[in-house]
Amino acid sequence: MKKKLSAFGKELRRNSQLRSGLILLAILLIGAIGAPVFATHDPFALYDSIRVAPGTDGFIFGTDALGRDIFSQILYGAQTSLKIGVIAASISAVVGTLIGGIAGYFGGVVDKIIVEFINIFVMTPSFFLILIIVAIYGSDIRYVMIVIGLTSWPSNARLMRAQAISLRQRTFVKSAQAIGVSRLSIMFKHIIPNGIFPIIANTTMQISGAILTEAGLSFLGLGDPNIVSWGQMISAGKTYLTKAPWISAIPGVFVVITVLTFFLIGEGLNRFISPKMENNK
Amino acid sequence: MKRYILKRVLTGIVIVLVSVCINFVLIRCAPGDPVRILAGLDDPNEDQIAVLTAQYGLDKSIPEQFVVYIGNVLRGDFGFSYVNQKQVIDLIAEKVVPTLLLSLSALTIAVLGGTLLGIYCARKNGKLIDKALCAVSYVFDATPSFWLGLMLILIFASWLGILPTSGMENMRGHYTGIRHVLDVMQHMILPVGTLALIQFPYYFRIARSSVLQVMSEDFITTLRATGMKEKKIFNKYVLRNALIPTVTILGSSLAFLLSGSVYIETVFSWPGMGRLLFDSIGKRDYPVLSGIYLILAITVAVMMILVDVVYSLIDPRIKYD
Repeated sequence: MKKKLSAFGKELRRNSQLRSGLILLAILLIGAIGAPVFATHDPFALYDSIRVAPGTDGFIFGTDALGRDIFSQILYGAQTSLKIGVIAASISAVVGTLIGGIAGYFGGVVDKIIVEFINIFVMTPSFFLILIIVAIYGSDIRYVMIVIGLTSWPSNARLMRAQAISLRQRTFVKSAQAIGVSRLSIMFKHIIPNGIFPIIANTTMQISGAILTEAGLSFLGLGDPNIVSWGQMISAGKTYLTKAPWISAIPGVFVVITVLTFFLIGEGLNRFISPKMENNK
Repeated sequence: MKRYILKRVLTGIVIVLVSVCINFVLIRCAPGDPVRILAGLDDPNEDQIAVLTAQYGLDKSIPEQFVVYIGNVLRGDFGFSYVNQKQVIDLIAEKVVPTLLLSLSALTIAVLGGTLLGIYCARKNGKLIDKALCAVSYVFDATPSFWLGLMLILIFASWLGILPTSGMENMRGHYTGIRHVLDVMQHMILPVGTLALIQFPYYFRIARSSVLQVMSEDFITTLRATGMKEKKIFNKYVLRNALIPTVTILGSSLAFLLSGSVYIETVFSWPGMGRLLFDSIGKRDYPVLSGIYLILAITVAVMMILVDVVYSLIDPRIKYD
């Protein structure tokens, strides 16, 4: 364990993408978790100062058209974005790992059926499916997370399948089979733990995708009205674009930074797994 | 070869059927009873409800309704928009041209620009310009398209005042002929530009990494060993092999392109399918939503299969089994 940690430390010194990604993530997490502490105002409260520019009357990022403090909304919006990103991507990771693991390890007919199923799933326009489901069944944040998660698992399933196919040939798996360990327990004890790393890297990237999708749904008016979301803030500022550009501009900048953070971590992890890719970067 | 194409077509049919099923289930399970809304919520008349239920075929069993639905879809009847009092297919048909104009222009610019820049960066691998363009591509990849659109409106339409903010033509202009074309083109600059900027990183990275990939392959080293000129190796062998991945993803990128145009059309009030989708969400016009979804699902499936078939013709290494 100690050895692994020191290897990771070495990697961090070398891998600037991973390093900057993790630093940004730490800042975001502090902001999101500490939102109740750092927030200067109640994010839902309507103040008399309407559409004041950043820096005036003690409103760090100004206020929106209803007089809500943008700085505090940004902090609480970070909670929403991170929560949606992480939970949706985790759902995708779990579903993808299980389906891909079963296909790759069990092989044969099971594999063929699952591969066809994945191919069909990949070819349906998932963004529009998400849009319709949320439009018809309501924009509760839990639905949004589940629907995003359940439509983005195929890439994880493909990665896990490839891992499982290569791992099942390895001696330690063959030995476990020889001494009579059940197939399911081999899958959960050997195949998945040993093949999980590419899925972790891919899941990190998917957090970015989920955050962008949520922001987009909120922008189209399909966000959960009971929470603060950066997409909703951008949408709310749309009408006042010329008079008060900061209402839309500021939350957008934070979406970009957050999405970039997870890109950097994902790319960094990918480079960590396959140092060969270094030549290609 | 024939078997491969047949297999792809079969997959396509399955995809369309799956999409039709998903659609049917989604609409059938939607909360709210359309007949009760049509009959008036304040003073419902049970006789009228019975007549309306029969009129729309809602008194039949679910499997029967499903068969009717499939029959309708096959005949090109995607439902009736109660809000617009029009056939869904007619509503969509009106909006197809603007959407295609917008998204295909953006796609062309993004593919050409992204690929050329990608090839250029691969040749300058590791240099400052390469690093800078890679960073730029990441930033645009992380940017929500609708926000980028708003910021570009702010800069070019509001502050600089050189481009129109929204719409497809100047409503007060009543231009005809060449002036009309120029007017539409002027209105296209911002939306097409935004969409192209959002899409280009995709093609940029694929071109860049596949050029680098091919350049590191053994046969290139062999060609170098034979003393062939670098330029000839690059133009004749590297480029051709490196462009194959770009062709392959064109089919799958269609869904991505169309989802981008939903946001762009909403931001720029572009009178296309994306805008129709947005308006239908606001009005809870489910038949239009499901019609658009179905048409997109079919288009995407057809495009992907076409690309797969073309790809298998270009690249003989593809296995057909």
